[in-house]
Amino acid sequence: MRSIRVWFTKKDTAKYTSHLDMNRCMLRAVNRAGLPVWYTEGFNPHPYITFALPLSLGIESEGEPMDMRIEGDMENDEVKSRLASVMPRGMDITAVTDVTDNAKTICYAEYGMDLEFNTANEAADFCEKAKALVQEGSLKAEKIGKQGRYKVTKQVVLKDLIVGFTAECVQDRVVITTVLSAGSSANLNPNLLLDTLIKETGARVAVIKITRKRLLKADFGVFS
Amino acid sequence: MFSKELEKILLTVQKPGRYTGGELNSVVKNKDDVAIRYAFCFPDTYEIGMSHLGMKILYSLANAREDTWCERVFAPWVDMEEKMRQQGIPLYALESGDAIADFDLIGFTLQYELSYTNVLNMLDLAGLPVKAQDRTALTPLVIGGGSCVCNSEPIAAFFDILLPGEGEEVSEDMIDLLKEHKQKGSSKADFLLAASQIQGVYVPSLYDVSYNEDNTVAAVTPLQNAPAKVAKRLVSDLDMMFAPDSFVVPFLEVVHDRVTVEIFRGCIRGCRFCQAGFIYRPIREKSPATVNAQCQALCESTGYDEVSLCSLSTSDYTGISELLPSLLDWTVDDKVNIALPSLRVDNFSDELMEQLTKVRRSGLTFAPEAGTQRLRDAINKNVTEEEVLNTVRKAYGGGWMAVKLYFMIGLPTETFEDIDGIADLAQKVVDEYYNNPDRAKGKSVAVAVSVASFVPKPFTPFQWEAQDTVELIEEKQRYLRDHIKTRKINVSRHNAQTSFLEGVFARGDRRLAQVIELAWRKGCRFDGWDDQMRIDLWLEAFEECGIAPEFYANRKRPFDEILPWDHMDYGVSKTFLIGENKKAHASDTTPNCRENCSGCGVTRLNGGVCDALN
Ligand code: SF4
Repeated sequence: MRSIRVWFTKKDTAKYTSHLDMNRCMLRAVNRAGLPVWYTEGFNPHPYITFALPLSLGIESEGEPMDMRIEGDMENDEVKSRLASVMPRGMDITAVTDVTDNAKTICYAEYGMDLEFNTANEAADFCEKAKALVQEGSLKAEKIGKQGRYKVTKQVVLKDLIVGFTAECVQDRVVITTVLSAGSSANLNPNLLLDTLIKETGARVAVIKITRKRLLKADFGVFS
Repeated sequence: MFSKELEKILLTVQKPGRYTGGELNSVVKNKDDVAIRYAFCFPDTYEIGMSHLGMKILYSLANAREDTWCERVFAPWVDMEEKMRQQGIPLYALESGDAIADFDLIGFTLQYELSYTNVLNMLDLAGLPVKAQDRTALTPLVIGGGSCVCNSEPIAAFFDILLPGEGEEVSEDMIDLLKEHKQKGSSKADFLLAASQIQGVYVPSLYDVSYNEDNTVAAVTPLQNAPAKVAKRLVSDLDMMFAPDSFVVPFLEVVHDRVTVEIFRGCIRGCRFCQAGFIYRPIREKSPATVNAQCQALCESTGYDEVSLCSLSTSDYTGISELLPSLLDWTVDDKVNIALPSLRVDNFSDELMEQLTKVRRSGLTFAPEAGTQRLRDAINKNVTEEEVLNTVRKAYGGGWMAVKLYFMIGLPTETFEDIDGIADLAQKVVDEYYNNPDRAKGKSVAVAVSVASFVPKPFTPFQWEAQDTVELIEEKQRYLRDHIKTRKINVSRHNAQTSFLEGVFARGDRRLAQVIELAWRKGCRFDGWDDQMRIDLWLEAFEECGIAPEFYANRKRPFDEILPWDHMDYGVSKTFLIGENKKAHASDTTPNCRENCSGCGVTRLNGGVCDALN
């Protein structure tokens, strides 16, 4: 038995699949592919599959890692070609690799945001204001969290969680690349950042597309 | 594929996965390569529609044709509907995202009466007039199939064509005919005339209905050579019948999320309250080899890890003892579970019980339906208390701890004594557990009692009976609740008002169309959902139309009254149904079809063949 890491995209309509549904979807893909996966023991055995960092509903991804264990000596290439032929549209297998980094080493995630505005003016305005707001470092957001059984609203200072931020205006679009804290200790959902920027600037965005580009470790090396 | 407006609202509604398509095995074609675009509509949520076997079969069947692209459409939930209307997004099909108003064929499956307002709402969301007479072009043609078609009179005004019986063959006929007439540039009227000559095609606009002063039907007159009786279609040989080799695999969790394969059609039991038991006759079995092959192919193409064998009464399948070992041959290695719904208690053999222990055990369900032997005899549910308790005893010994019992209240001839019987039987099922030395130690038993309210349905021996009023049903529900003595029994019941409405539409006539339309305009939809159902708006609508719903639900009809569905022919003869009704009132049972054929008359529609006769 060995662990492998499967990398897959989540694009177009596939982005509307929630994290909970992803698990079921992947279990079935593994069944269809006839992979010799390792099953958990017990009353209701099922293949052991884990996702390194859940992706929020509505966000696309260029490469999500999913770990599983397989028995026997099937090569990574074979796993890849078998899985590739049974995936739903929008979820393509980009690579199957050995497991190098522990999922706990993920510290940051890089996102691309592609925003479309109704006019070029609105785009330029938002671009300038957003850059200034991030630079200034006073952005705060409210986050609904849980404290025991109670729901509480927490103030989050976004500055500490934004590691990189560039924005560029191209006609009526604004293209943002940003690196945000990710993982179990500190995490910033790109939706929260964007919602805050939209609220603070009073902008009206026509179309929003957010894509997770890659995951990074503490030293900004690419998680693999 | 989707418009910006749509993309924008998708993230603001619950479960956007209901509206995006893109699932594995969903069929995408090039619209320029097909002659017929077919929107298959299920008038309820995605999760319910995606669990429906009939839709899966007909979707695959239509898409197996090169000239047709069939896509799925479900009723958007209220939050999505609101956003769609705000943004002016018309109802679209999941595979292409295209508006269905531009399709050639719009087909609804009508499985329960309380989905009728959703049909109107979906037509309206599509941007189409809801009434058939206001849709003057040939396409989109609006057709309907499913069990409600056996009395589609209340919704006939909204449909161009209704298809009584099984859809496999008649769907092909409809597509062929529509394609031909579309190419010829026929008028809608010419097309409908041609369609009315096909067996199993009901064109409601070709029938004139007149009424007596007392509001009963005086006559149904066919026009322009339409047949006086419309006979249902049925498939003779289930082994030769089209069967899908793949199912669309939803991302969202749906109600029945598994492979489902039909094992036979019809039912040998003849329970007098059960519409399915009469309208799906005659008995036709699929061979175990075919069932096994279909299960295996579907598991491979979908990756599901559960197969369910589907029929009205699984243990009556003569091939069950051959089928189970052949299934277990591969399901065990592939870690696939087998689900056997609709098991009956009376022929639950030791052998079957032993094989079942290899199958993953879910809860154990029994449907005694009535609390006393007298009433069980009257409804022809030939299950004895002894049999229930015997099986429960075996099951407890085999490790089961949860039992579900299904009952009905409001059955014809029922008295409060019969309600006592429900509480008593449930109590005995509990006691049986504690008297059982082999029971799982230290654990408690849970008996779930589900009590539905009986709704008389067309083409059953009870089609003439009065349905209990809402007040009486509620009184009986309270009475039952007060007679349950232990917390080990948990009673769930149906909303009496919902059953009342269901009863009105089940046996209604064409005058109800205006009530349905008015109630929908007042905001009724998803009437089968307790949290959406607005009985106040419905009662308003009846009042404003000057129609008393009690006339349809709570009135006992004489045998010689012309019933609104008398021009439909489902094979089973009226003489047979009258005989069964009289036997019910005498608490007299009818043997099951394998013991003795009762001459129900259905073989007339199947070349004299019924598998129960062999
Ligand atoms: S023909 Fe006879 S055996 Fe067949 S369904 Fe009718 S009554 Fe039963």
